[in-house]
Formats: sequence, structure tokens, C-alpha cells
Amino acid sequence: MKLKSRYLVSALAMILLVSAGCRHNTTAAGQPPPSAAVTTVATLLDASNTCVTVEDGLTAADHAIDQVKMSDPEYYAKVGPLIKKISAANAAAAQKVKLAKDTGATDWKPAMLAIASSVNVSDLSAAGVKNPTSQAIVQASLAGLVAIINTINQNFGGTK
Amino acid sequence: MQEFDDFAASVSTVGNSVADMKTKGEALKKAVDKKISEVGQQAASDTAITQVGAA
Repeated sequence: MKLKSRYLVSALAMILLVSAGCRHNTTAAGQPPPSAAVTTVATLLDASNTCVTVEDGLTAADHAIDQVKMSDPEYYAKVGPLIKKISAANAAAAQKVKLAKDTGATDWKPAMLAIASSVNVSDLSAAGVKNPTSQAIVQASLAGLVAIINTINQNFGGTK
Repeated sequence: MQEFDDFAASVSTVGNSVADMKTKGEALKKAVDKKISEVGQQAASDTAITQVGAA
């Protein structure tokens, strides 16, 4: 799987980081309080960083299951599409976060939560990989990916 | 493999902090690629030894 969006997300993270560092808040009539604006920028940076982290987890999982593509085609056929689903949801979320930074759009949180709900994480199992060494690598990569995905609801599901 | 298993167990608890997640995501990617490379090199070495033994 080609993970082209990684570069887009990385660039966005850098832009957000610079924006957060250079932002000057002024109080004016009709403007939100400075603390709210700073919080929004910081949260967008968190969202962007989370997309990068999910991408890292996807890369690890993708490389791991690629190793068993030939030896365990049935397993690959089952788990490969799940990785692609998460990747698509992550790319969509990264675009929403970028749009939010550029235009102030506010609908990016559902896109972040959609990453977490894109698959049933209990389906991300190494069961079916025959070689024990390959199974351990697949298991470790999927456990890491699941752990990352599970934090999305904690970080973006509330009022933050 | 034990070292990798221990690492995998530590990554499976990434905590709530986005910074912690990001660090462990990067570490996971590197560790998995390193382990795959090691396993590939070992397999190539085993194949070479088998071929020498057969000859």
C-alpha cells in the first residue's frame, strides 16, 4: 500500500506547529477569547499529530502483513482490506484537519472519530498467520495500531 | 525475539498523551521494519547454509 498522505500530514503538522508558535491573539469585539483560539490551534495540532501516528501504525501493520502475503493469502485477504479502510479514514481526517486550519471549518472531529470506527478493532488479529515468528511481528504491529486507534475516542470524543 | 516481545508489550499501552502516542508510533514503525529485516537476513543466511550443505 502506498501511504502518500503521510507527506501531506507531516507538512500539515509543521504548518500547524509554526502557526501555533507565531499566533498573536488580540481581543476585539466579536472575536472569541484568545484562550479558545489557542486551544483550537493546539487541538488541531493534536489531531494532525494523531493522523501522523495512525499513519505510522498503518505503515508498521502494512509491512508486517506484507511478509505473509504469499504464505498466508487467506489471512492477507481478510486483514489487508481492514488496513486499507483505516488508511482511507485517516486520509479523510487529515484532509478535514487541514481544511479546518485553512478555513476554520469545524467538522473535523467526526472525521477523527471515524478513524476509530472504520473497523472493528477485534478483527485486527494475527490469528491465521502460520509462521510463529511472522505471527509475533504481525501481532505486535496490530497491537500497536489498535492501541493508537483506541486513544482517538479518549482524545477527541469529549469536549476538548 | 523476547526483546521484541517486550517492546511490543510496551507499545500496546500508548497512554493518553498525543506526544506519547506519536513517539511510540514512530518507534513501532522502526521496530517492525528492523525485525522484518532481521528475519529476512536470517532466512537468507539459513538458505545459503542449506545450499552449501547440499553442495
